[in-house]
Amino acid sequence: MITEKDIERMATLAKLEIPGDDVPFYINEIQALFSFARSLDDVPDTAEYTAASDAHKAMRDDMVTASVSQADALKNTAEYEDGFFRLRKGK
Amino acid sequence: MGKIIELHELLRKKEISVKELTDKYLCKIDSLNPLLNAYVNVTAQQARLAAELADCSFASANSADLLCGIPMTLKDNISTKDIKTTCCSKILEDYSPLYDATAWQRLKTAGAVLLGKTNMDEFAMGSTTETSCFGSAKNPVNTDYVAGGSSGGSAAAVAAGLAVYALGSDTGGSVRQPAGFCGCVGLKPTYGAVSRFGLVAYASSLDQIGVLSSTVEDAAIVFDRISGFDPQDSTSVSDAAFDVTGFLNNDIKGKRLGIPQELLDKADKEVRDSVLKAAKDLEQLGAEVELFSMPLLVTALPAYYVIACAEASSNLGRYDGVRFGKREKEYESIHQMICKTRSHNFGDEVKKRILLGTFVLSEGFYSKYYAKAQSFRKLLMADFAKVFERFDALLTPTSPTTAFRSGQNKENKDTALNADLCTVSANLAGLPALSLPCGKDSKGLPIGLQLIGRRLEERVILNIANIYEKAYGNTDSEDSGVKL
Repeated sequence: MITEKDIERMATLAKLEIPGDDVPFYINEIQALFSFARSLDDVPDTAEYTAASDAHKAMRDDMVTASVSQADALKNTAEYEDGFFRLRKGK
Repeated sequence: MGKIIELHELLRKKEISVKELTDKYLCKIDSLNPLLNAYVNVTAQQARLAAELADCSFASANSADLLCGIPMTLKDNISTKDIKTTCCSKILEDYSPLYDATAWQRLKTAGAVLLGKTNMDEFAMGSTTETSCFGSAKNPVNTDYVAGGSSGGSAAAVAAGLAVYALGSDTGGSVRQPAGFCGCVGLKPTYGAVSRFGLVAYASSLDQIGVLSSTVEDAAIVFDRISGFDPQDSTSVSDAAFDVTGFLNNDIKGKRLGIPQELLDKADKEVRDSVLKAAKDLEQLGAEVELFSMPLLVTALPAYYVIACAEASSNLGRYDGVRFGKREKEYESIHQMICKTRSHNFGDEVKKRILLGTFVLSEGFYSKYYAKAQSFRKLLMADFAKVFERFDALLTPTSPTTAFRSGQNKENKDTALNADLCTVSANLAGLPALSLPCGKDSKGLPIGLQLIGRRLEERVILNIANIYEKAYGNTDSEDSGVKL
């Protein structure tokens, strides 16, 4: 059973603020998905799937290649200063 | 004949210029998009510039690329340099990527004309486009019904003739399901066949860029162009040679097709009848069709939700308001800024999936849900390997139902959860699959037929689909053939 405390704990881990009024909504939604996932209980424990297989050659030579410029990297940020992303200090 | 070759011939013979063709599509978008909401950003100026360049290619070369000058569109989670890529989320509503996705780059190099970016569920999380921050896309067949999702805008655009073809993304059926709902063709390639570089991540081990088009031949032409190794995607398949168009017209006599009884049983009667009718038609064309049992297919859906949400909770951690995306202006600490930014700018569905993903990865829940889902995935892949010793391809409904009435999903959670029942297995196992129209229900809504193939055997399912489409394909569609 999902509790209010569970939602609060997960929201903290996920860096989300869930207002108290919305907590019942998330409890219902997540409880419904967990009930739905109950059929996984019958799955025998085997080695877990891993995407690393012969088909996926994830390793490559570590080479320096072209990258984005500093000006480009700052294009999408809300605030920047002297080439750095800028955030205000906390109070 | 597909639209691409037909249009290419008209352009080559100078019966129409790319500029004229582009203007006709832009004009149609102007008149129909207010009704359909298929596009969230129409890039008319860039399209006209691309059209001028393409006209130069036709003027200077005897044989311009088949895709040169063909007007198309991209789902709004495929990165386009200096063109907004919002994922239909408030958090990215002003974000313009610094680079092009590889798939788009390849089409751009071929001379494709991008008409704009299409509507989708926020971060591709949904099956109706109703979670889009721009409002939902409508089904062109009947606007009281959804276009499907998450690539609903792409499907609506293609089905309504607002683009010749579109790229979408498919994590659990997001290309095939809207293609089925809107009556067009949707191809989800093998995992790794098309580079994911530049595709905004939802669930990285499941995501794949796919094609939506009016005909199987068009899907094959586009797939040939966007597939192939890309060093910028570490899961890109390096040893595959596709060239699927050369196989499209092969005889399908003796091809063995299996229909999993479990998925047929879960479908509405009209959908089931249409799929069985298509199976009979394929038998007439020489294929051998057999019903068989694969019980694991029904458990695939919960496993998909667990894995997709787990990966989403990790992938969406990057939206912290620091380097890109929205940032809340008022905050007392950096932690508070991050929390406020995410909470105020993600929609409910996204927050729900992030929370669920955080749950299944946390202590006490990991072994009960995530580890089980990953074990299931391995079993499913082994099951598919056995099944493909008997069959060349599987035949299923694309979705258990036809398109939902707008708003219906909010009232009926089961309908929403089951929307991807038939499609998620191909994503979990990394297999190629496509949807093509195989009839209409009593309300006139399209029914989709899904073909699932062996890994890297896109050519087999495209071949079977092409032969079926040529023999029995829908010819009464308002938009069939090229109308200028």
